Amino acid sequence: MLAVCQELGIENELVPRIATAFGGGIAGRGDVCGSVVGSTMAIGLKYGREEPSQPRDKAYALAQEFCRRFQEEMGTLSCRELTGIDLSTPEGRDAFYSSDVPIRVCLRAGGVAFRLVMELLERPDPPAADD
Amino acid sequence: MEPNRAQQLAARGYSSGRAVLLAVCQELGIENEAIPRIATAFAGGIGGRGDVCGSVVGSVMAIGLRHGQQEPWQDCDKAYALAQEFCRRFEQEMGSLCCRELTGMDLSTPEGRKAHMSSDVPIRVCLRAIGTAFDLVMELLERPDPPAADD
Repeated sequence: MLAVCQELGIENELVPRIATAFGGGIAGRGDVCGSVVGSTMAIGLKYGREEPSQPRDKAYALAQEFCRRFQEEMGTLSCRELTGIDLSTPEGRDAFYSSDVPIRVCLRAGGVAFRLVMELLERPDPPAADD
Repeated sequence: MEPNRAQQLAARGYSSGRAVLLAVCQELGIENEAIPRIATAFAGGIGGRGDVCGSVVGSVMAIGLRHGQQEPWQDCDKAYALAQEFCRRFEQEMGSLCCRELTGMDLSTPEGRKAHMSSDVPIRVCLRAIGTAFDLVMELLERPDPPAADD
């Protein structure tokens, strides 16, 4: 998320702090990969809404497309399935850090997520229907 | 029971992730232009995909805001411990963290979202999840720190 914000010139004191506990899913629980969550936050920063009356279709559509393409490239969105390791225990985390998974899987997932989300966020908007 | 702050926002049309994140920030006095925009696409999981409930994601973001790390060398144990405790207790109360399991519905299609909005699920499940998440995360964030070991 920090990388996307740097790329888009978004400076905010909450970034990247707000994403802290999304590592190994949520705090090692193995849910949705943190790079997917960070990317979805970045989509919200660019296309999110402040008030319920504003449209959210664009952010939803991009998040769905992001997830579909991430899944195509990486096979799954799930930390547990990506890493094949249980990161919820100290032993699991030790095993993780002494394996090649951080480089082979996580670094790759982070790279894929960043490339995909930047491509989606830099895509020009289609001309409005009344143009 | 009186709806809590997050439930009141949800009743005004804020989706789960945004309602919980905004309510916690209001409660803690955190004002920032990214709030609640950053949580927009977390509704029905991610963009309706049915993954982790948006109110859980919003709560874990709030934990990061309060106890997160700005630089890689800073400690994130506290944020991790709170996020784990939050998830464990949310799961105990609601039965699952997963939107698809909580709602029993497929929110990824326009038909699914229509069926959701015309059912009692938004009130019976989603509003309850939002209220539970807000109460839990506020309790965790307002808990006093234990005295340091060298006190």
